Amino acid sequence: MNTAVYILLTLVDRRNGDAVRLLRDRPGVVRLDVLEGQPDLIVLFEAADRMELAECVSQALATLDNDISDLRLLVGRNDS
Amino acid sequence: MKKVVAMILAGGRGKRMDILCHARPKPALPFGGRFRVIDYTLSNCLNSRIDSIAVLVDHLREEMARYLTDWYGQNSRPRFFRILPPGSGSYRGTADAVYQNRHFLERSGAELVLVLAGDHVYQMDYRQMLAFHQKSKAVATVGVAPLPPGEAHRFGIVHTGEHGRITGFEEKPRFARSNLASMGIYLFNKEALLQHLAEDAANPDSPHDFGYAIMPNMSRAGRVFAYQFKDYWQDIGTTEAYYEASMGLLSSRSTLKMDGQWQLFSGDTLRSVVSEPQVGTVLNSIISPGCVVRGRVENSILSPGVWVDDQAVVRNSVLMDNVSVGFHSVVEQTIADEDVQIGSYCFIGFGDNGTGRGITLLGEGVTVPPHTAVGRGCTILPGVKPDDFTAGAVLPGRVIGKRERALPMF
Repeated sequence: MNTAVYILLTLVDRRNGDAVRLLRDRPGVVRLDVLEGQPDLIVLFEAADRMELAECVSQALATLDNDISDLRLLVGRNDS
Repeated sequence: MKKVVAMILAGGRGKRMDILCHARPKPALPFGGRFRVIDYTLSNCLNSRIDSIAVLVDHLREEMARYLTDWYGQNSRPRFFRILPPGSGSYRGTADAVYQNRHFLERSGAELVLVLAGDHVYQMDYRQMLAFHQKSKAVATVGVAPLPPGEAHRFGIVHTGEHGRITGFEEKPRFARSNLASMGIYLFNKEALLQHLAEDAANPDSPHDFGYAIMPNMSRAGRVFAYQFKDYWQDIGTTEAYYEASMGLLSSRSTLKMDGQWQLFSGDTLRSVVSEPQVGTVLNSIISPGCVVRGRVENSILSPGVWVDDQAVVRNSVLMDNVSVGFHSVVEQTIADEDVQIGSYCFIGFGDNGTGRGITLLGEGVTVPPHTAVGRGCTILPGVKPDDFTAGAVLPGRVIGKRERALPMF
């Protein structure tokens, strides 16, 4: 794996448990932590290339439907 | 060669083109980088040595006229070039558009009238059709193209008999008995055309349309022939067809000549050479003048003035004039209309929307804020601003923004 993105998620009504259950087994998710305060979750995605990474993230976000209140994409540095 | 005048019909609405034609006449739609759809028909005229051209405008006529004025300014090759809006109100149909300009035709001194659709993309030497017309001793000749199976319901279909003489017309039949589509290219003996236009104008029940009224009547009354054209021809009727046709230009099998063999004349103002260092990567793409690529562009078409920033990736997409793609953003299978700004760290055009429609559409002037994911098959309506992206993620297949009411005729 050589591309990564950290996603900071703020959820509607802090539905953290639902989000964790929906995200943890998604393709590309390698780490998922519930945070104290906002944002609610930090998720690390990894993939072989940028296109696959974007696909994994978009598929995962789609499972949350209308539960996302705010989102930040922090792209990992690719030193490879 | 008999004297020919070309009448290009450029008043259509492009109803099935979604947001791409809300504020733009379909013939002015960018196609193939720095060209507009109507450039292909205009170029055909110049390459065929037809130097009397009239363009009939209607829907969004001021915008169309502005582009045509620019085009003539860049290519003052036709000896005679006129833009013809309706005298009052709106044209009632394609035949009415020509009928309203009959005095222009009468004064033109032409013996033959070539009526052309301004919203199709093809490369044709009209002189060959003219020779066929004269050899057949036809009063009218219709350009036809063979269709692949299952496409007939979108077109006017022509039935032919001996030597290509037309025996019948069907407009958009559900089950067609022929695979020959009318290309919207008609060549007429002027006097016969004027006679049939006058009869049609006097009929209050007529739709005043070439396909529905004039051609069926003419083929019953006289010698009307089909001229079969087998090279590149596209009727870009829908957003999906537009996207497929654009991607087709990048195929090694494309027969549309973009290499100067068949010169294309654009109304685009030439831009100065960009002094930015070009450190990006471009694969199998059309990149217009004035573009800056610092990231990676693959299988895509970029109109003039597009900026692709460092680490950005654009793939399988059409980016129109002055689109910018921010640092580290990724864009896939997207049509971005003019002046779209995509911020940094965005993912555009990914995810499964479950509808089978894969193209993401970004309307004119949309600003996508940084850190935004816009899913596959989304439509972002023209003018949507960062505050409209409330959650940072637009899920696949969603629409953002307010649909405008149908545009008024004027």
